[in-house]
Amino acid sequence: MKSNRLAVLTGGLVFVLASSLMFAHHNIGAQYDRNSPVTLTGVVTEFLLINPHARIDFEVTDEHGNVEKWSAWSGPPAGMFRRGWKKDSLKPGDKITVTGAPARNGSKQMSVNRLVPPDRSVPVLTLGAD
Amino acid sequence: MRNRCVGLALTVVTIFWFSPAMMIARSAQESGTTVKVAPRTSDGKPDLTGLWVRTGNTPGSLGNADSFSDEEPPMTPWAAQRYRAAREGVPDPDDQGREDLDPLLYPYCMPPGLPRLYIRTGTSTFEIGQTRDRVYMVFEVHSTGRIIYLDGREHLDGAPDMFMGYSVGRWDGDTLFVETKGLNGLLTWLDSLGHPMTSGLRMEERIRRANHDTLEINFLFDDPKAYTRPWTGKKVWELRPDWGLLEYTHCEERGRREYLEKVLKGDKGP
Repeated sequence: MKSNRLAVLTGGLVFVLASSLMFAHHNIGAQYDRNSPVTLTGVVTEFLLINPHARIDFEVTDEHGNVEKWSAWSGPPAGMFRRGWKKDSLKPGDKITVTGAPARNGSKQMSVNRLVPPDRSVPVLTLGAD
Repeated sequence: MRNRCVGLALTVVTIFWFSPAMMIARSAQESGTTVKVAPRTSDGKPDLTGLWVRTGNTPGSLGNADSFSDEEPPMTPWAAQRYRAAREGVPDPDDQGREDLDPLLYPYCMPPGLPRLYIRTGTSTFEIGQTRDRVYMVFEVHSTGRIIYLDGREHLDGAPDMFMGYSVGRWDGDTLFVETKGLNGLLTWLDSLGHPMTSGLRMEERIRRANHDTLEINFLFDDPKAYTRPWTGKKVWELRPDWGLLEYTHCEERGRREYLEKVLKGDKGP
């Protein structure tokens, strides 16, 4: 049990480090506000495991029933695939909670800091500047 | 006669004992780690084949992930001006240069070419194949191929500039020495920080399989119009025999969106 926890912890740490490296080349700070992360809960409409960065489109509904369409950007698909993500790891209708750096230009886009997929066999996505 | 035999045997043992392979093996044994020696081809050359993934991507002894060296290369006034423009408004010195000026990115979508292909990637991964007179490299980025000719040929004269240039090489002991010329210096950055280059760049690579799982490349960049003297860098890769090459491109997402909208009219197929 202890070794399992250690393995999970170690795996998570490796994933965080590796994920940070995947994004390290990108000029994220210019496009996204890393100092003001937001957390949103919504429903996936499309997941694209494509180059150069995977994209998750999702809809957020507020308490008044208003729907906002958001896009969350993640790492390069090759790196995500090697860490256990597949092109169907998120499906339309999946409920997700995403924490990320919002776009500086005010558009409804973010760079993913953390996303817990509904399928627990898929690694938690932890990217960016948290 | 007997003395000569004993002397010969001692010589052989001494040479073997101090051979690089044995020294690595002894060093590993003494430190309690296991380091497998680099394999060789049937003709006795170091075998570079395999899928290699870059390590040492953090700032430090092996350089920033987006550059070849921790030290600022000695730029000419022209290069310094071009570099300042590429960095203007970029807050983090470790971040890549301005994306709106980056020839790789939308809407320019140029191939990264050499030498930038070695550093600007999602994973900086390539596979090497090798024969007696060729070394083949296939990079994950843009699925780009490269041939290094080892058959003694000369560089091309008057050929068009190419993003991958033209590479000739030779074995220098256990190190593969490669010289590349004919690079496209107009539509490329040398690295992802935004250092410029010209078509006059001559790149040297010294490629060495340090042990079974480690590939090192020492670089030298000689580009007199952009840099006041040749400068060097180093990168290290580790063997990943369990991986296969995937793909990394820079403009797929933006191009996909426009193609889907303008050409396919939203039709994603049956």
